[in-house]
Amino acid sequence: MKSNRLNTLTNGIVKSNPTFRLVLGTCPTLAVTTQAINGLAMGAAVTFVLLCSNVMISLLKKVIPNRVRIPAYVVIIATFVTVVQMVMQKFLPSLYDALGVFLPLIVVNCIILARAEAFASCNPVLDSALDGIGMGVGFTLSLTLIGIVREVLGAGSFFGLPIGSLGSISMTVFILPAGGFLVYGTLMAVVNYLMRLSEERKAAKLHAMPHEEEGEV
Amino acid sequence: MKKGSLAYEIVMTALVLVLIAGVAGALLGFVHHFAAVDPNELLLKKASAVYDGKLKDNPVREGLSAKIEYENGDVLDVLVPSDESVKDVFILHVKGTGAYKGSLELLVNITKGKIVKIAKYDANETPGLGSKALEDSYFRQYCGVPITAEFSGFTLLKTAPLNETEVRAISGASKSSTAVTNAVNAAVVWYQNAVLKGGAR
Repeated sequence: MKSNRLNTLTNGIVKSNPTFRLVLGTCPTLAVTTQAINGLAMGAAVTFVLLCSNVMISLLKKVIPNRVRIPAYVVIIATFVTVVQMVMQKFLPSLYDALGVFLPLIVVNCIILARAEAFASCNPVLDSALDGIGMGVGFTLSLTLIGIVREVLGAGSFFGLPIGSLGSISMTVFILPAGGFLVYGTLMAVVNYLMRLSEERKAAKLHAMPHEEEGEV
Repeated sequence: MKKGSLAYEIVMTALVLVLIAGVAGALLGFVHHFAAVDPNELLLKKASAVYDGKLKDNPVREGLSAKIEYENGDVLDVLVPSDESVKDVFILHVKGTGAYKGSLELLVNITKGKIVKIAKYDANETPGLGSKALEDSYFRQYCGVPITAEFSGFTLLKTAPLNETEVRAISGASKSSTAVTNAVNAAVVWYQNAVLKGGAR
């Protein structure tokens, strides 16, 4: 049971990473990652909404009528998105400005709706919470990584802090949409290559095990 | 109404949805109570970037009109120091059109007929590109020029400026540079009308 829950938590971070493996939430991924801090803030906002909506939907799964489950999920998700929006506008106005329209658009983010429909609506509360945290952390890490690469190459800074003389040789294309696609695609290829390598190693290990046992016998 | 009948199902579905919406509304009301943003409070907070002293609580709208006739920008609010002995200091909340994302808003401090400080109020230009037109080093080009009744505003150039009324645009960010110039020129037009000519008083 414990190992299952650990799997649920880590699933969204590596194996089923929403950005690099499932290719979900591409729109905000490309739009807000011009700076690492924007990626981190967007990821944190999505994680909060994922966690709260997954818990709430899991709690109400027997109460919400099947026919109207999607509108009910959207109302729940929209509530938490509005909470994040109001808190961010009050306490983090510069990040609120930077995320712009993509903050309210979390309501229709396919990662959140997909987890609500595919996981939270048919799993217990604790598992749903762990799934929300895992997926959210996976999304946050991906966005922050893309943001770091784009900011370092495009603006010569790291989380807003200039890196030596890198600013003078920075390549503006990386903070433009084309650079976003370029970085996203390259990182996706690297992550998928590493995943395939790890899966092949695991398969080779499994394949070798029966022979060892046979040898022992 | 029998349990299991269509009417029963419809009523129950409606009740559940109303209940969910009601709880959601109550939660939002609760959060709004703590996180509501007062626009005047926000304006005063941001205005501290261009003026060190205390400003009057409410933007001046009566007697000192913010209205101007300028097609590329607008004056949204005018703030004055709360200390009435401080004369000829105006903090203008201005908007300039033509930015990468539509328009941008700035705060301009005009003291004794000269722009002394400019700061960003609300702008979301591309980081590392358009954002360079919102940095102090760029804003300084507009400071120190005497605003007279004859002054026709700042002119944006792509080459090195020849006089103090000309401003060099940021390379690769001409839209953001244009919007900043439009916003600053809106402040200039307001000062000429309201203070020099007294037309908007």
